[in-house]
Amino acid sequence: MPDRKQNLPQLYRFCFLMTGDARKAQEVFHATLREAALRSSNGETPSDPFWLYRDARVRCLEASEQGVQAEDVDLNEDDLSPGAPTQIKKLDANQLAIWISAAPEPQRTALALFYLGEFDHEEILDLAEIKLSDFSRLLAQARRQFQAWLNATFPQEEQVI
Amino acid sequence: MKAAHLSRQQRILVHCAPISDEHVSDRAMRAAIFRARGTDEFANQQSFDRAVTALVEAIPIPADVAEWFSREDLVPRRKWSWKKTARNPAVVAIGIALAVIAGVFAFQFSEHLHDFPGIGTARKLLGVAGSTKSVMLDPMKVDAGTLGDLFFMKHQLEHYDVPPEFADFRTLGCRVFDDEEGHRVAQIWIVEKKMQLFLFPAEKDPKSGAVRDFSGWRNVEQEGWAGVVREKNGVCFMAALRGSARDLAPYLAKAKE
Repeated sequence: MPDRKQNLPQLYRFCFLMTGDARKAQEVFHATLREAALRSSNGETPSDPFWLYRDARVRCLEASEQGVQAEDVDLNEDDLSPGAPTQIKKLDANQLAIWISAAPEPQRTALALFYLGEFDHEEILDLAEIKLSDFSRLLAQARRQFQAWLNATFPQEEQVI
Repeated sequence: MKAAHLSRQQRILVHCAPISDEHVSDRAMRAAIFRARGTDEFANQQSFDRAVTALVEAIPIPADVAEWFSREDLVPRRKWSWKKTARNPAVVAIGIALAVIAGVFAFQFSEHLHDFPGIGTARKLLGVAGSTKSVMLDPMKVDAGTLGDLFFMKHQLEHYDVPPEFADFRTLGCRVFDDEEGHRVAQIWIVEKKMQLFLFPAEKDPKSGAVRDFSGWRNVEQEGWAGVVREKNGVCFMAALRGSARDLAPYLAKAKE
C-alpha cells in the first residue's frame, strides 16, 4: 500500500461503498481505527498489512445486516457502451455506493476493493476470500448489470447517421 | 479495431485488469492485457472502470474521519512475506543461479575427491595404452616380475619393480620411452586380458623436490580405460585395461588374500 495517510481516506471510501450509507461508514471507520489504536497502545500492532480492511469488511457486513435489505432480484445486463463514462459522470457517489452495497457478498467486497484502485488482483482475492475465476465472473457481471442500470437511468440518445 | 484471441485464462485475467499499470503484479496479467489492448471490448471496460474509479475518488471525506489522518501508529507497514519474496522473479533467478553454482562445485568436488599425486600422468598413460600396438614393443615372454632387473641393468631405472599382485603374469613385450615431460616410462604388455603395466616417476613437489607419496591403490579412468595406481619408493606403478575399475578389483583382492 502507498502512504498510510492516503490509505485512511481509501479505508473510509471502502466502508462507504460497502455500506452505502455515510453514517454507517463513519461508525465502521471509527470502530476499526479505535480497535487499531487500542491494539497499538497495547503493543499489539497487527502484522497483517491488510488488517484494517479485513476488520472494516467484517464490521461493514455486520452493519449491513441491520436496516433495509436489498431485494434478491435478477438484474438486466447490457454490453459495456463507449458512452458509459458520460453516463457515470452524471451519477453522484451516493448512487454508486448504494448500487455496490446492494450487491451480494462476495461481489460487494470485490467491487468495493477493485474500484478503490488500491490493490492488485491477488490482494483482492486474498481480502475478499474468493478465487480468481469467481472474481473475474463477478466483476464482469457487475459491469454489465451496472451498464444496464445506467442505460435505464440515463438513456443514451440514438445516433443519427 | 482488432479482435483479440484470448485463452480462457487470459479472458479471466482481462476482466480483472486494473486501470493502472502500477497494480499489474504478475506476468500473466501483463500478457493478457497486452493481447487485449486495442480491442473495443477492452477499451470500453477500461474507460468504464476509470470513470467508476474517478467517482470513487470523489467520495467526500467527512471532517471527523479526516481527524484520524494525522495519527501515525495505526496502519501496519506492509512487509514482504516469505511466500511473496520467494515468488519474486529476481529471487527465483538468484536461487537458480546459486543452485547451479553449488551443483558445479559439488560435481567438481566429487570428481577430485579421489584424486592423488600423479593422476594427470596416469590419465595420459591410459591414453598411451589405448593407442599402443603390440608391434611397438620389444617381444619379451617372461614373468612380469622379472623385468625390474632388466629396467635397472639396461636403463638404470631404480625401483621400477612390478608389484607382487601382477608379478606372475606372462608378458608379451615391453619398452621404455620418455613421456612429454621427459620422464622415463616403462610399459609392459601382458597376456592376461591384454593388460598393460606402466612404471613412471612419482610426482614431486616443485619447491622441495620431495616425492608426493600416497598409500594404497587408487583408481583412475579415462576414455574407456581403467587403471589402478600405487606408489612405492618414488615410482608409480599402474595396471591398465580396457574396461572399468571393477574389472581390476579381483587382481587386488587376490593379493590381499
